[in-house]
Amino acid sequence: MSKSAITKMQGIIVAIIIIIALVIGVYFAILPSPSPSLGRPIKIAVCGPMAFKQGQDFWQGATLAAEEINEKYGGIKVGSEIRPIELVKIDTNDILSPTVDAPAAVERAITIEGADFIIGPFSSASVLVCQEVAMDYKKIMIADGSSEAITAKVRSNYDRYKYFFTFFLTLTQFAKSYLKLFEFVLNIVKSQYNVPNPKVAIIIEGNVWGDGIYSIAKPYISSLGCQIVYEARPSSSATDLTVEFTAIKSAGVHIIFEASTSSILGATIGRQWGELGVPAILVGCNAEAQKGKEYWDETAGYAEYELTFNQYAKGVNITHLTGPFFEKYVTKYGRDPTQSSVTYDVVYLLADAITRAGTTDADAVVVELEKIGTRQGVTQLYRSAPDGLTTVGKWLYNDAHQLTWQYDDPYVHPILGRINPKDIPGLYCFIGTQLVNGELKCVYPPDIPGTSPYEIPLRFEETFK
Amino acid sequence: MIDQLIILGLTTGLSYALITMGFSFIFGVSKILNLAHTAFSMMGAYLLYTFFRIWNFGILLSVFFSLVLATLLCLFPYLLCLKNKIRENILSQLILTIGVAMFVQGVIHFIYGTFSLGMPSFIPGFIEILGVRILNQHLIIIVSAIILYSILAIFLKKTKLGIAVRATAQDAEVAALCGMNIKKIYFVSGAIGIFLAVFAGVFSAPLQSLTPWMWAPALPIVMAAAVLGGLGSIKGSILASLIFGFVFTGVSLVYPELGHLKEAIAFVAVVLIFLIRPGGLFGVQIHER
Repeated sequence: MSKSAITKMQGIIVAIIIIIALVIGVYFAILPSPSPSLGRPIKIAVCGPMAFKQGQDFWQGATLAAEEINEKYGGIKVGSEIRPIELVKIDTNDILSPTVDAPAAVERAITIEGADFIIGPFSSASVLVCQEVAMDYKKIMIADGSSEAITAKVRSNYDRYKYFFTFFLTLTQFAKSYLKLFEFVLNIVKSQYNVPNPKVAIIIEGNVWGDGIYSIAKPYISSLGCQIVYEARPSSSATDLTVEFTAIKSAGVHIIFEASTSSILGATIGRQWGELGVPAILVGCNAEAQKGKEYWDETAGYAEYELTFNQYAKGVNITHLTGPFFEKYVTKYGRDPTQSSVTYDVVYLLADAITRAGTTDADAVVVELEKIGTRQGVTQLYRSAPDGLTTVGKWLYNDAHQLTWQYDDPYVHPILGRINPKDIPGLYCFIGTQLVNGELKCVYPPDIPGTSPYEIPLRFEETFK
Repeated sequence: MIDQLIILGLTTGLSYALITMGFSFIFGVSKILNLAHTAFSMMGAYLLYTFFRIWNFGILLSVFFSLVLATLLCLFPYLLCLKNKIRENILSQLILTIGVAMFVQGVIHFIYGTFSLGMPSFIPGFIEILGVRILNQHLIIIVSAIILYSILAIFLKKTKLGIAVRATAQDAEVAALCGMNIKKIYFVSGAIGIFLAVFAGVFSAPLQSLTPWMWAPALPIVMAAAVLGGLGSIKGSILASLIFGFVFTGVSLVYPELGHLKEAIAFVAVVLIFLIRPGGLFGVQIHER
């Protein structure tokens, strides 16, 4: 072998080594900065009455958010790790057995399923007992339930109950919202039909929740100059209100104020009101009526023109997130979201707090949850006024870990812009939807894009014009 | 208000009578306390929904098929109850029939889900009697209840099989000694009772929200009306249902704010009647063996 031949071979080898080194160098040079390693999943237990609409909506809302976060970011960023969200479906059966099945199910979620966080359950009665289980294990629980007794515990014994947060309104806040809708209709009746003191009937579900609504609604309606001529408190399983509607019609009632969360009573009210041709306007809260097309079928179309408290309606973007959320929800599940679908926001809220805490340690996440102030949700529920002016989409927990929601704060509406309550009487954190021709149409507030004009039932016109 | 009380009390009472008659009839003949009775009604209602709204049969065909199919399906658990050892043990009956009710609930839950479903009225709208509006569907139920009661009365009084049913109801052992086919009579009476339950479910479906749990709230009222009337007495069950109807209507008219307590108030009335007539209004005296 000649010297030059060896040199040539060596040259080729050196050239290959240089090329390989260059390729490796370029490869590492163009690589993104080191990504956080993929950690074990964060388990979030979604607890609710899974055999019922409310539980299913809890699950569906949370699932949509978890899938989005996992798809977009791989999961929740916790320090240097990305940890995917793993939802665990827990049936608390809290509509049928709020104090027996529900706490056992929550304990199972923690001890057997290994849940890191808990969303739910649904009813106040079950939240009151499930709180104790979650607090025993020092697990963060973000639950529904409108009873003020739930958050009163946080205020009275912060060290034990600081892990508890709510994601919905208090009973008082609910009642005020329903009464805003009532006032909206009342003004129409007073001004357009020249009835200075309209006759009002009240139909409110006969249970603890209804008692609370009733105690607020009755004096308020009287204070508006209405004559309350009939009050009914049917049970949540009532399937016949013929007698009640007969009495209402006989009394010449102009407006019926309703409040019902029961699917059976809700459908009975809407259906028999229409089928018996009761001329009075029906307004308030009927949770069943939030289902839209399904409710239309259930009531055979007789509930047309019923006006109910709601959170979502097609084409009405309360925040910039509402529209995409609504479309995704309908595409995925084939039906409109209801107020229980708000767990979508709760998963984002929790993810945000965990990322900022940099850990899943409950005490650290509590601190971050308490500080959350700028997370925008799909509804405008989450707003507050720490500094006088509120931005829609802010989250704020008060000292009882209750989301604040007040009517008398100035705030920036995402559509209407900066608003002062002195300029607009009555701010809104919800919408009113009316069932017209099988579709839920947003009719309140009347002045935002996407709303339709409120339609007075023809039989009211014929009777009272 | 009196006219409203009379008209609406009759309407409500006769609606309950339709379902109570079957419960009382089955007990009267077979001595089976069928806690699945209202679950059988629910099955009829769901089958009507299936035929009418899912498979788009006309209303008449839907009613016919749901009546026949639900009655046949419900006969199977009833035949189980007829097994001697179960029939003679009231606790076994209770456990078995409540189990059947839970099973029906579970199956309906599995097939139809939990959302409330609704049926349109057979004849939509209402009529006005003395200024009181009555839904056409309620009227259909009332007329049906009267027709069914008349047919049942004629069957029991005028036909050979009906007389055999009555004889068996009075004393099954003596009837058997007289050569009557007791098993056949139990089967026929069960089929009639179940048909009445299914009929009530099918015809009241347009007045209700269909949920897998709808059988439960109705059961205590049906049982109370049957016991108040005197278990086994058709006449008694109708009268007791009317009492319930008038109490419910009276509470809703006079104290509507106590509407959620009307079942409790009606049960107070039941207790008062029992203090006077422990065997019920038309009940037979029950002797300890």
